[in-house]
Amino acid sequence: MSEPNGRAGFVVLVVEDDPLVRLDMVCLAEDIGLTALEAANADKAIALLERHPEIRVLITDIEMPGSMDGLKLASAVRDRWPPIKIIVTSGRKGFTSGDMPVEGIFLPKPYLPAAVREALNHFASELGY
Amino acid sequence: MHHTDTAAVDEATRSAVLHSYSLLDTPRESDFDDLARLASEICQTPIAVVNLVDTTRQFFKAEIGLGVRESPLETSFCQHALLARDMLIVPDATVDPRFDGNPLVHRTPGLRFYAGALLKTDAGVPLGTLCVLDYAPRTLDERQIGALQILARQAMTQIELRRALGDERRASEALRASEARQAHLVREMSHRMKNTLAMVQAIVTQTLRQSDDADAARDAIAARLAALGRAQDILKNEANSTALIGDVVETALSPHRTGQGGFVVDGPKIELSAPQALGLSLALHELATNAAKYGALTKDDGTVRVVWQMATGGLEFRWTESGGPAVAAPRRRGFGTNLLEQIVASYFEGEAELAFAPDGVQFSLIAGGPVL
Repeated sequence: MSEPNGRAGFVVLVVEDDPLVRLDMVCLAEDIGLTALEAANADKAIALLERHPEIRVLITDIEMPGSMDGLKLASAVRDRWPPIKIIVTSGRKGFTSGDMPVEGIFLPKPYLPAAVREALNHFASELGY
Repeated sequence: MHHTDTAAVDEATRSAVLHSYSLLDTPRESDFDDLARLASEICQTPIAVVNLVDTTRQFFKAEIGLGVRESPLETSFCQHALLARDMLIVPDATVDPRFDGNPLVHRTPGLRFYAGALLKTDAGVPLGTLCVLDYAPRTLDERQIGALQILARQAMTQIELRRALGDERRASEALRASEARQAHLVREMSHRMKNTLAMVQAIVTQTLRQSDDADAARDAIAARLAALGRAQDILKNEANSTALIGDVVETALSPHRTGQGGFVVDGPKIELSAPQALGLSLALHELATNAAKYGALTKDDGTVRVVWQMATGGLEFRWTESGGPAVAAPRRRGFGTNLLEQIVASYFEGEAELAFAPDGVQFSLIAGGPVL
């Protein structure tokens, strides 16, 4: 079920309040041929999700300013857009993948670029890209 | 301690000491009820009271045969007892001038007999009495008087014990709160450090991916991390740290003040959030490095104007070079350009513009959201 425009049709939404880290995440996705959209907080992420049904993966930080943190955003995405795959990243002490409120991958901060690439490639191949 | 002299303290001090025990208006407790019951049985009186005497009323921590928990001070027997050394005995109040006109004596219920042993702190401050009363005139024998004094000391021991337990509880609550604050701080610091490491990682990878000269990349990474480090220094060491924009500017420019050309820095006192301070520091580092290599800071009469103000929309920050060599746009757009054109603006939810004007580089940052 590969899309006509190949891996570039696989869209990742990066939600991260630090602009530098956000840029780095976007580059990581683009370097492996994916398309990245970015948002600085959960509210902006929801607005993008509503406008871009082609988003396949959400990769979000936990601690962010605004009405929702990354875990609430992940739960909201699971409810409203069930097919979207979820990656959560945080520097929160003691947080593990077992603390995830929804199914997904947890990557501790500072994240390994290889781990981010691997998670994205995993979801891409799972979805046939 | 058994026969501490009654301390001569004024009523305000005595009341303050009494209040410090936090016993007034507390519920009944069996420990005190038992002492009152024992006093009543030993002295063979229908009434026994553990009485705490404040400035305008008395509060009965325990009472047998009264049916009320407090009464006004005007009709009090115990206020007279407080003037005694250890004990006041009134065999028949109807013939005692101190109770002339006291309705409790001369009308209902017709109290006649009173014996009260003082409740005294270790310092001798009287708080009240353990007292017994009767409707008939009478006396107490030596054994009854002795027993009443022992019971009064027992009541005082219970009172002191409650205060010690309260102090200990408050102390351990304070300790727990302080431990919780410390744990929170450790979590917060660890979290912030990891975020900083993620920032450092982004700076390193971004510098590397947009550079094809390993030596230049190494120097650029070191210089950018040094700029980030200096900016960290001026953040106040608190969970929600902030920095003044003037300090951010001075700190970021300080390594470049030794060269040629000069800075004109001007702007009001504005507080920045920690991420804003870090973002602006990195931007200033890029601008100043570029100015020292290619721009206004390469000439003696070159000048960089760094000014900011609070406009209606928010913070407006401008960097304007003049007096330097003719400027041309760089051949390639590196991480530095990216930082100035996009990243720093994101920290301020605003717009940034980098212009390579012929008479000098110009940079403007217009914050869209609130600073801080």
